[in-house]
Order: sequence, then structure tokens, then C-alpha cells
Amino acid sequence: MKDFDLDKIIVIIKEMKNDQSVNGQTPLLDSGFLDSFDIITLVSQLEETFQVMVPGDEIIPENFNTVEDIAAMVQKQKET
Amino acid sequence: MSSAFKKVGIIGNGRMAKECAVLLNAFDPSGCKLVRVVVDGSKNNISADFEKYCQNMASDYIVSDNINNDETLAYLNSGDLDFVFSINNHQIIRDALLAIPVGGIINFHNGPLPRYGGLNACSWAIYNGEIHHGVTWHYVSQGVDNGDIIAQRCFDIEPDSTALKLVMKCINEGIGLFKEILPSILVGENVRIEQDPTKRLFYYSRQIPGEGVIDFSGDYASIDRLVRALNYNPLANPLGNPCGMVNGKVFYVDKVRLARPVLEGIPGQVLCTKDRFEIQVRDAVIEIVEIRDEMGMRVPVKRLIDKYDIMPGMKTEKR
Repeated sequence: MKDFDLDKIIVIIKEMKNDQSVNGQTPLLDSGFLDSFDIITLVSQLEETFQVMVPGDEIIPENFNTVEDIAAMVQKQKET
Repeated sequence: MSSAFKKVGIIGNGRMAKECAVLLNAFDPSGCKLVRVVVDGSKNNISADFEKYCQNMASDYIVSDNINNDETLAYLNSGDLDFVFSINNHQIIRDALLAIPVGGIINFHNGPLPRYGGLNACSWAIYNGEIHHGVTWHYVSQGVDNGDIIAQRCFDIEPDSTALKLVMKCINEGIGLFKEILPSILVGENVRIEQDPTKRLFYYSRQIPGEGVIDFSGDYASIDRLVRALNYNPLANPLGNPCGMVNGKVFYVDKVRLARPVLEGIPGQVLCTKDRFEIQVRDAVIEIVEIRDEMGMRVPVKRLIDKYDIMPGMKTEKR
């Protein structure tokens, strides 16, 4: 997983959440940091930024728990 | 009513239930207290917003995949409830549950009742070419979506709105309306407007806009409406994506755009396939911008053109 992917994802999330502090391991779902609306917005941003298509069956909590989980999911989509 | 402050329950799930719970918990405690929460466990929710909120607030709640079962009824009965709000609740409320709160059960519906009752109101509104939509808070009665109306809020449908975008707009509008009407409900001063049954428009779960099939001999506007009505991206689509067929193979469409308002071929004919998938329809040339293969997987348009061997001059077929 590339560091710059993590950084880009962090930037996207910070922009969505009014610059709230977030890092690679911040619990995003368990803490309620991101809700379902945020995920929908985030997926659109990820698709645009990384030129990937995120299928509906990948939008599961396991792929969005942390920035690192999101980056792994994005990487997987890049490889398909 | 049973106490000076009103005892309130919520049955539901998702962001909307969470935001309404936030409003209830922030309300003057001498006015109301949220004492019972049933998280509708019948459908998966991407981030389980409502349950997470209850956990974080250390609220008393249960998760129920059958809100009418004995356990759920006993839990709600023990709350001595004045009102229950049903918010993004996907389960039918039966008589025994309906009888529990003395002030009734109040439901949120993402359509302007009595129009667009039933399921998938946002998809049907887009498909039918509505330019306005609305949300309704209403009492639950023994029928479906036919109880007295407490409040409605109407708003425009954006010309490029998809079903999911309209659902999200309904949720935001519904939360705002909830904040407005809550004080009057709690003091029993809300209005009750009987629904006019002659204006009722109702859709069942078995109904799908356009049967889910694109007629490429139709006009651009109707094709665009069908595609947007069945677009729930990025979430899984509850109705199925609209399909077409060419060269004997099925494809599904997520997005079209008007390429040129001209006639360059026969309606239904493929025109250009180098790196763009263009089809002549009745009144224009349209481009399929986002597409899925026969498995329903989103793929780049160019990849699908190559995989399906699509050539100019081919005719789209009716599935």
C-alpha cells in the first residue's frame, strides 16, 4: 500500500469532515466518525481520485473501518 | 398521557433514525425522553449509524429483525410509551405494536402522500418525470402509508438526480421537518389531516420502473429518467439496473448523456464504438457513459465494447 494513497484518502476525509483529525488507524465506523451518507460521498470521491469503480458489494463495514482498510480496498479495485 | 414529560420510542435504522434520536436527546428533558429504541435489524446498513450512536450514547436499545415478535413488544410495552417514531423502518407495524404507545406511532415516508405511497417512491418519482417531490410525517394506521398526515415538505427534484441522491435529499428534508414538528407533537397540538384516498398513488415491491428494460427506440428524456430512477450508486441496487442487449449479450446502464440532438441512424442502432458507445434513439444520439457487464459488474465502456464485439450498425435488441 502506497503512503501517498493513504495521504490522499486522509485529505478527502478531512475535507468531508471539516478538517477533523484522522490518521491511518483512526476508527471511522465504530466511533461514528463516518456515517452512511459520508460513505456514499467518500466512495464517489475515491472513484474520481483513483479512477476506480467500487462495486456495491465492496461497500461493507470491513472495507471502511480505517483509512488503511479503505486504501486496501482501493488497491484491490485498481488491480481488477 | 402517562407522565409530565413524554416517553418516546424509536423504531428504525440508518442516519435518519440517528439524527432524529440526536434531536430527541437534545430536547428539553422536561418535554420528552427517548426511553426505548428498537434498531430495525431486518436490513444490512453500511455503517450501522443508529446502533453505533446508541452504543456510544450508552442508550438502552435492542436490535430486532422482527419488530412484531413477543420480545420486542414486551420491551416496548415496558417503556410506558407516549409516542413511537418509525424512521427508516422497513418492517410492517402490526396491530399489537400499534396499540402500545398511547399517542400513536408516527412514521416517516419519503414521498408526498397520498401520492407515492408504498415502496421506492424516489425511483418512481424520477421515472414519472416529476419535477417536485416531498416527504411526509404521518400517523400509522391499519393500512399502509394511509394514516393522517402531520406535516409535509415539498422540494424540487434536480434534473440530474439519481434515485439515491433523491433518497438522501428526502432524509435531510425529513430530519429538518422533524425538528419543526416535534414540539407540537409533544404537546398534542400538531395537525392531523386525513389523506384523500382519491389522490392515492401506491407502488408495490414487485413493481419496477419500465420493467427494468431500456427501450432504445424511445426518446432520450424517457431513457434518461429510467436510468436515473434505477441508479443507486454506489450502493447495491434494490431494484436492479436497467438493461439492454446488443450482439446477443446483456448489458446494464448506470448513466447516459445526450450526445447530439440529431438523427444519424435508425432508432436503436449502434453508431460509434471506437471508444464511445453511442446509440441512436428516437430523437437524439445518446452516449452510454457508465455501464455494467452481464454479471452486473461496473466496467469501463471501452472494455465492454471490445468484450462484446460491438460494431457500428448493430441494432440493440429487446431482452
